[in-house]
Amino acid sequence: MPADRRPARAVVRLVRKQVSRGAYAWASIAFLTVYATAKGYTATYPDVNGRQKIAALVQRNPAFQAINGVARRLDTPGGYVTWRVGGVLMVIVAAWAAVATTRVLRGEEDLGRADTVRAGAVTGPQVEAATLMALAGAVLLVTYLVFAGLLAARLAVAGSALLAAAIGLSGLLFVAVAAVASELFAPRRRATQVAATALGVCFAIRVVADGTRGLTWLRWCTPLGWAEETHPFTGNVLWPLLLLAVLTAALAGVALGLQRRRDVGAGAFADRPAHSRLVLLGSPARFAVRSELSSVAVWSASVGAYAVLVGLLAKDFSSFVSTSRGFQDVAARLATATLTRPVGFLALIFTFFAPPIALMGVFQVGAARTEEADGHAEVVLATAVTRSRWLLGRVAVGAGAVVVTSLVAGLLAWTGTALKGGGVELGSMMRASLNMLPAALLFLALAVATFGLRPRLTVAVGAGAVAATYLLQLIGALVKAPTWVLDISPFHHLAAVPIAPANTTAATVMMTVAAVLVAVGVVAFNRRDVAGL
Amino acid sequence: MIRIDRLTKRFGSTVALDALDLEVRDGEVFGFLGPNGAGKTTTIRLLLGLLHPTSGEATVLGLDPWRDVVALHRRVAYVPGEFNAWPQLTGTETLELLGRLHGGVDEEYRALLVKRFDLDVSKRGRQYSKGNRQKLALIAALSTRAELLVLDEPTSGLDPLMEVTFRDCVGEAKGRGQTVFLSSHILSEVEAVCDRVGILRAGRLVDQGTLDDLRHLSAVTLEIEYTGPAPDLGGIDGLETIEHGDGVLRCRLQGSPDPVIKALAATHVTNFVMREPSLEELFLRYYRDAG
Repeated sequence: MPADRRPARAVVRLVRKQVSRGAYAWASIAFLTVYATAKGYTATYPDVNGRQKIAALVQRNPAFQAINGVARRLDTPGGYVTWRVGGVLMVIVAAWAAVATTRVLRGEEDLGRADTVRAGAVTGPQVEAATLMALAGAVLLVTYLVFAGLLAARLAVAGSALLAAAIGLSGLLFVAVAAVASELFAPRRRATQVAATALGVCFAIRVVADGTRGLTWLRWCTPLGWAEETHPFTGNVLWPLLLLAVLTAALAGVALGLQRRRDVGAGAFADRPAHSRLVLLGSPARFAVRSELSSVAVWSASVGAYAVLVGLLAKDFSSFVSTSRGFQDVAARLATATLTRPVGFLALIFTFFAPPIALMGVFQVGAARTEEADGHAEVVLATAVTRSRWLLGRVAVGAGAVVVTSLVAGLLAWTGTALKGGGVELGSMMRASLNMLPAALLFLALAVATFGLRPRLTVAVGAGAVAATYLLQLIGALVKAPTWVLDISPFHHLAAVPIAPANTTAATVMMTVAAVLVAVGVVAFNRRDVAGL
Repeated sequence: MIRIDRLTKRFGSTVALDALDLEVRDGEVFGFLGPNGAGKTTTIRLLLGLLHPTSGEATVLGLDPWRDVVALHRRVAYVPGEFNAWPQLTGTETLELLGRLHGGVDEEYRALLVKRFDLDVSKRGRQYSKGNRQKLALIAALSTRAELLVLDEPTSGLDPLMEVTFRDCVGEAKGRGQTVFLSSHILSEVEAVCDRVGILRAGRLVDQGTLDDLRHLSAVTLEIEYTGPAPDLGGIDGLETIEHGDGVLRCRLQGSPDPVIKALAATHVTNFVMREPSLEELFLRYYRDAG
């Protein structure tokens, strides 16, 4: 009897539907990011002189290469784009791919939906293979748009293809890693943690390898390092991609092998035994703290790690700027900050901390929406808890998380400068932290209003607004958009605290608007039906 | 206890509940019957203030479910049709959370209920089967000793043994003077525990009353076995033949059986059974007639 391929195709179609929204979003962001970075390079460094200066600064200083990855030939647009966004996109695409994978593999099993699919005329490995194929398709879409973005910015075809392929294969590798994690661990949260830890370790090894003199050999110990060894635009070495492909295929094979051996819904490792702890159960807000603590800790740690690095770099960077005339012009145009002192560099950089912190706030409101969609809010709201108390409790926890993360960023950036003897005061950095809050909280408040009015769009509107303003700034600066266009972005109103005084007018306006938005959200939530998915 | 007055709820163009009138009295166990999609859950969510009525109104314990949320919910306990337990919380933690949010429960009674429903409360929410999640919601609700228990198909997923425990608990609640509003489509359950029932179809109440009322108003079933020539029952008012087989006649009768018995005088009857319809028959008739 010939094999019926229709059930497997149905699985592919199902998974494609589940991941396509994220794929389109990330593909668009990736396209715009590489395109804007390449275009921005030629605008910022129009002549050879400036290009050689930035190249000399970064290439001579490993600390600059820790986060973004190895820097080669920054005096060429291709080399610059690869350094500036290549490494970061590899990690972001890998992280997205891993999360999407555990969602459609382990997440579907947790919810019991996998049973329905597996009751069809397909075997477990067929479902898994079809799922992986659909996920690979999503990663390919992102890869293709990276390639298109690079070509659109008129970079060399071979280098563009190689960089896009390196980013795409990093994504595919972490689809496979997350697939193995989904086979071994239940529930989804644990599988995601394991896959994220694997990515974190790969990234950390690469950070050490690229950020430390004399440890470049360490690059061979991490797949993200292999991707770097392709030297896009600067050397175009193809064979490290083969390493990535072989490892990806091997892990996918392991996942399929494990799939054959286990029960649906079960992991190889048993769930940790439960111990009841009765703390933080007394009110909706306390319960929100309990539920969100671990995710807020991860956000704070990530933002904090970046802050430390920024602190460590502040001194080197400011001394570079003070000796580089071309760059001073740019800096003056980018912001009113003077970048010739470490504190100036930090002041400018800190305005870029606001978008990720705003995003975290949006996700906190998104967690409230998930509670509602899962039917948990209904049970809570049937007890002696008003809707206002429930929602405001969660909003307070989200706002608290935003404040804590900001302060952690300020504290750790100061720690970084202190380690380098940068002479920046702790108080100044705390003020820089607080300066971000109104803009970040504004997006949280927008999510709250959306939650009240159109609950299903809570995260889409909130995160979409953050992404849109980020892209507005990126592209607006590039095309020298008129000020009123840039002024649409709340982040554009952040003064470079501590070297400039805080823009109290803007802060007051933003906090007022935020308060109104929260009020709208609460009132609308009080008036609408409690809704499921 | 509960008064519902021309309560209507639309979701977009769908009418989920169409001018529903209903009354539940203090201390009674009220069965709310209807097939899937009839509007049972919508009614319950309106009574709890989780949904906003399109028109009409409901008062529960003399309070407005939409405005007097806290005052009302302190006196009401709710079991949803499908309780999706928090995956990360253990049974103990879930009971603690819901108890505290309700504003206090009878902890001794809760411990007893855990024992009676034979639930292992040390497991996490995600490890519970559907039946065990339902037990968790039932224990949380019953342990509040609230004046009004609103139960939305509470026994879906429970095994017959636990179903008995549930019926006992409902009986005890009634004994203590608690009012129970029980939505269900398990007719034997409703027959066993409910004082009065309301039957809902496509968002409208088709009938309400005690089970006896509904039975008396309804037709009885006659089963006549005979030998020899078939009886002629034509022309009797309110009689409708359901089935006429070899020596067996089954029919439905509305009104007095007297004309039937007289018409059978010439027939050699070997067996004569007249019985009131079961709730199931009532139920099916309501839906078939309207179908």
